[in-house]
Amino acid sequence: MSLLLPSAKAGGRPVSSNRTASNAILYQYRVLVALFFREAQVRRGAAFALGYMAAGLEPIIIVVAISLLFTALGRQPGYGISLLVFIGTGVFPIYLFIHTSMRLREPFANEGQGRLPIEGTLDHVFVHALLHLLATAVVTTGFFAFLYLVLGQKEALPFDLAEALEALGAIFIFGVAMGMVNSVIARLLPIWNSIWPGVARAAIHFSGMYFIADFLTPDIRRYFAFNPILHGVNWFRTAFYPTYPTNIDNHVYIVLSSGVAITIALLLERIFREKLTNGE
Amino acid sequence: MILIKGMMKDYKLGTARRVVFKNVDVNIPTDRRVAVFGAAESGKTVLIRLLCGLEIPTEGEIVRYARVSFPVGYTRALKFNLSARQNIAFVSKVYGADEAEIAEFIERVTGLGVLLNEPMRKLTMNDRSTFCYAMGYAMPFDTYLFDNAVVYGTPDFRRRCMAMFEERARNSGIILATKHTKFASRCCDCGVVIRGRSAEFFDTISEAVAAFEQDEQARHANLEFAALEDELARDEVTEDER
Repeated sequence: MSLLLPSAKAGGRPVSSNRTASNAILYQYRVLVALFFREAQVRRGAAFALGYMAAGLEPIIIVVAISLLFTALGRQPGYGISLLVFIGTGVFPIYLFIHTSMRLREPFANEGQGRLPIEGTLDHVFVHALLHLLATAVVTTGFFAFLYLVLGQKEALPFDLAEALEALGAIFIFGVAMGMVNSVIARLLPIWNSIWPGVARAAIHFSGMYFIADFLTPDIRRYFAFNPILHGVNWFRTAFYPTYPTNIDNHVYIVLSSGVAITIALLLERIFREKLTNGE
Repeated sequence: MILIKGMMKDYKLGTARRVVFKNVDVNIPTDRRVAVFGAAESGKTVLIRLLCGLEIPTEGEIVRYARVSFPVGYTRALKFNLSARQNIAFVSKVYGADEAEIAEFIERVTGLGVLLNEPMRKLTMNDRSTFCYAMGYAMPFDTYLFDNAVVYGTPDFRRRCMAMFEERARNSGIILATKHTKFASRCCDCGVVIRGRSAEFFDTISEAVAAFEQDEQARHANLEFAALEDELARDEVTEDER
């Protein structure tokens, strides 16, 4: 019985078993592209729009809720004239960190879900982080564009876009690093899955979402300055407010924290690679 | 060729440690039909998983100079929320195969038809496994790995699996983990025997079968001897009690 099996050169695409750098790059590219399109199609049973994008609604709900509460209490924005912009410039960077640090668990916590031998944990980390970044970028842009175009709030347009992107980039990388560290810890200590979301969300209140760190008393301020996210939020806000107080700002600190966290994450991944790979 | 260099593999079971392989140095050809023999629980499945990269060694390394398949019939690479066609698209993209050709082939071989468009979770276990066997055979590799089974399912699909196996065995390398020396002798031309915690390569299948059968006879003789010792020990206890 001949079944005309697909040939090894199916579709005429380049296939080779040589262990060359170009082949390694080709295989890596294929895996990343395939994973990107597969993971974009589904997230926890929902399509991309309903899965990743719906997750982006959380910061919007928080911004609106806090703004309503502050309006009801008669509170003024901590800086500038728009309460929505002030709260938004705090909430979005913080949630970028929180969600990134929480959402990278999937590549590691793959119990019950296997994978092809060629898929690596770091491939999944890269793809999940990229998808999350894209979804967040769409929601964040949509939010500030809505404030600027529909509500006519001029402050919603950053006067220094590059600065805003740099700040978000630094926070994102810190989130990815912490996400990887958390994921490895969670595989070794499953209760971490319940602890970290609480810790991350508690960080909202220490990251300058509704206050200005520079206006705190010096003895308290120095403790707050240990929080890398606070530096990220301040950095992001300087892109919207040219005269935003930045005395405690240290961009090097958040970049350095990201570097240290990424190094720890990669070391943990290397040390526990066997357990992470075998534990499907 | 797959080079296994100084490989050790162990698993932690609570506080205990089970060493499956220790100091394994063996080269396995990827352009031949290789049988992997071993007693039950000797580590055949672990070796297959190590060869394809589903697991990594605790120590040492495995270097593959060929495109090695995942074990044919492996179901755990699938996303059950996606349809069979979406899973085909993913696996085809990963391995650089022609998605349309693979999908057409799987549809023809499995007869799943419109079910290929349904989410995998809606398929029966039998349909999922049938799909996975077809996909394993359809993907283009230099060497195909099999863990104990080369066929699955209904008599008709088993016949198709056998035909696919024979065709792949003709044009590609295969590595088949099995205990069945008769079947292996028919379709393989060399073998690896797992002995103790190591593995040894034999250039002809008859040598591999002979070595494996010798090991099996020795193992059975040991088991019989151990059973006899247990019986004698029980008899002595009974005598003392009297």
